[in-house]
Amino acid sequence: MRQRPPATVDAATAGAPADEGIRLARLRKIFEGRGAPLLALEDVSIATRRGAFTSIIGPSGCGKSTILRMLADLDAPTFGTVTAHGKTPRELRRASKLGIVFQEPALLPWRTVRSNIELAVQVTGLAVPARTCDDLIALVGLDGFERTRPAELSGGMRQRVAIARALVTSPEVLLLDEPFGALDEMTRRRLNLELLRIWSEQAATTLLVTHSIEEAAFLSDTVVVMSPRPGRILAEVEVDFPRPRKEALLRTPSFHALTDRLSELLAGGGDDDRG
Amino acid sequence: MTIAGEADAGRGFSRLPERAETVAILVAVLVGWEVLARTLLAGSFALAAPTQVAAQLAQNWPLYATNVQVTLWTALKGFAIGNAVAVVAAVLIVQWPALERPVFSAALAIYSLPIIALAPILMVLLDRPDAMVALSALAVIFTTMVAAVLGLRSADPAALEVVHVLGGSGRDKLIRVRLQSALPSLFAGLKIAAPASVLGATVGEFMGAERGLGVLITGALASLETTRVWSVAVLATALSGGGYVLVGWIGAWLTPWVHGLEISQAATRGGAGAGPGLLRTGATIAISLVVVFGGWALFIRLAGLNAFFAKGPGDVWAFLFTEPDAAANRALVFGGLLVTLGNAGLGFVAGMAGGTLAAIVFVLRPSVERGVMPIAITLRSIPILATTPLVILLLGRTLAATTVIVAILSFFPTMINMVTAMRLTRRQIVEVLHVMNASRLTILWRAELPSALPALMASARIAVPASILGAVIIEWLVTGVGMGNAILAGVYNADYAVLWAVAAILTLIAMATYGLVSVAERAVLRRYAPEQLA
Ligand SMILES: Nc1ncnc2c1ncn2[C@@H]1O[C@H](COP(=O)(O)OP(=O)(O)O)[C@@H](O)[C@H]1O
Ligand SMILES: [Mg+2]
Repeated sequence: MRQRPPATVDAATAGAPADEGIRLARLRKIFEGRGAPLLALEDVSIATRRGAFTSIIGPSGCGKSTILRMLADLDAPTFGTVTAHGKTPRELRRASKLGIVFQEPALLPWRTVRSNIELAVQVTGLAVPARTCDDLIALVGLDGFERTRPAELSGGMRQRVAIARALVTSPEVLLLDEPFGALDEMTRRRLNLELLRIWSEQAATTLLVTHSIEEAAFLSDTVVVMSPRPGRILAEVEVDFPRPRKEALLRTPSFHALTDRLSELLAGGGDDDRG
Repeated sequence: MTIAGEADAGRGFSRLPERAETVAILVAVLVGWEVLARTLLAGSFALAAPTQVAAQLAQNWPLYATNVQVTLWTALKGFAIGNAVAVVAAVLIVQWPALERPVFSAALAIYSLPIIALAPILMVLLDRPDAMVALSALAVIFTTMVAAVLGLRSADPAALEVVHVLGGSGRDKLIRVRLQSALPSLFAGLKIAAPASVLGATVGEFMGAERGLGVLITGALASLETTRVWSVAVLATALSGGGYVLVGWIGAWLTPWVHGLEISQAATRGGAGAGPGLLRTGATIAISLVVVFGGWALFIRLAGLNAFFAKGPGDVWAFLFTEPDAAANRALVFGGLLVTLGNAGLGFVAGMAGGTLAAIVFVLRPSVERGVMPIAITLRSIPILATTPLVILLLGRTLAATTVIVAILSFFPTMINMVTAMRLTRRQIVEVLHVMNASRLTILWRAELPSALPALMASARIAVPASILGAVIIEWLVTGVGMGNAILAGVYNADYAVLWAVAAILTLIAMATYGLVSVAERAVLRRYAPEQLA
């Protein structure tokens, strides 16, 4: 486990190298609301490799979702640049290369499981073979529920549908905002294992926002630790457990050492804030 | 600007209404109205300019003030009595579920009963002023009761359980949890009740009173005094709209913990939980019939009324089927019925379609919505007393005029409910579609419109009896056809059996249609908003 200082990236660098993944350069975000302007992010720079799995952890309100929303072209930075695979979020979205999962499954209640997943195909207009959809339903363990409507599914099953919907178009960049945040610990672990399996087949550049240290450590190549608001990067921790990772990893001393380390980093940030 | 910025603007429902835009639009409308009245339509008897209306009001203020006072006082009494009855009925329903079916059926019958058919009967059975208060009260009972039931049932189950565990009784739950939880929904209902009570009051005045806005308008319309017609219309709109806004303010002030949108949300659901389930089965329909006919027969028997005025179900049956004149009677009533249903149906369809289209435009063009919506919300309460003469002046006594007047009744509520429902589409769903690179129209078509289908059905359910009432009022007041003509004939010949027959038939038809729409609504809810059925 090496700990690197936060990456400093020159915003003006042009011509992305082939293995460049997500690249946030000197991001600052100020929300201008009804009251005083709110500084949500201050000088956030991250650079990941193409195909890497990166997690962001940090106290609630530190701007994790804001980062993800900027990558999804749902929000724009006040200062700094956001790219992935050398393209702006707008370009990626226009090319239907983004996939997103929120904490809420955000399914259409009037569509069946299958038709909720197919929504992504219909809307993006991509040529996705019908088999991909079937395979994906099997992969997330929903076979037999194709014709069921969301109201009749458990929370975990709904979230699987949301994940399948994000993956059915084989996105280049996968954005996950606390996708398992509303689920119980057992379901969460099971879905994390499934997510790893699916992810290893698709090789999407992934950014996961989570408040679970264990989840971040288990899934990621890199864990980014953020400070309380205004969000800054406290540390980027490389995770080099070999893949494929199995559940047994959760019980190894080196895994515990990593989660302890991440907890300390998080707590350190908290102390600063109390001053 | 990002697309996200556009999306945010479209969903900017947390913002205060942009008063500047609203004021600008109002001024533009006033100026356009003035110019139109002074140029193109000058001397056409159709339009009076705002300045002429203002001058008219100023010159004859004592006259207008007395009449406004009369109508206002009637409406206030009706509002108070009707809503008190409604809230008591709602509490009964919620505390003793066994009472739900009979009480709901009775309230629905009252809502379905076109007060214009009832007015001449009440006028002879009661003192005139009392009859008008009664009409006004009857106009508000059902909508308020449904809103109150919905509100009382919206109480957080966990909060009720906490009171239960602390040893609280059913009364504690009612007083400490349910009543407070009911306030947002109740006030959504009371807001609609304010203009409805004005409508009830003026219908009585149409029928014959000494003073009141209804009296002024019939006089002015008969003598084609355009400026007077417009002046009364402006006053009637101010009275209805003012009541609507005032009740809204009181509600907001009493429920500081609630956001405006939640109140509107309660309105868009409009009793999905209270109504449809009840009318689903044949058994329930049978109960409704028993309640309506039994209540009617009992009322006639017990009230000891003059048999010349008060007719029971048996008298109406004889009138329609066994009397020597039965065939002629049937021709009058059922012939009129077809015409009325045509008028009501055309207006209903036009109003629902227009309201939906306007809602789509507003959702696609949030900048327009911000300016126009506050005006539209106030116009929701524009009384038939104002629209009828204005549309007649503009379009003449034509089918088009009837259609427009009936359509306006469902246009504004449908539009407002649909806009609210589309804006309430889950934000994450819209964002997911956005990330998929969906176009604005795709988001509308795939997510927002389907999400608003339940609101469309709720609007339709409420609009059915309103459309029938509107059609009969216009037939009675202006065109002299259909059931309105039958009422005229009944009053003219002092043949009270006609009036009771018209009232009974229209009530049954409105209730049946309400039931049918409810069944359809339930099917829509099952598919599009299953959580509302839970
Ligand atoms: N649209 C917005 N307008 C104003 N403030 C916002 C907006 N979105 C987020 N914020 C604020 O920015 C900060 C970061 O939010 P967010 O990124 O959601 O945090 P989290 O790390 O919990 O995901 C919070 O203080 C939040 O209140
Ligand atoms: Mg968040």
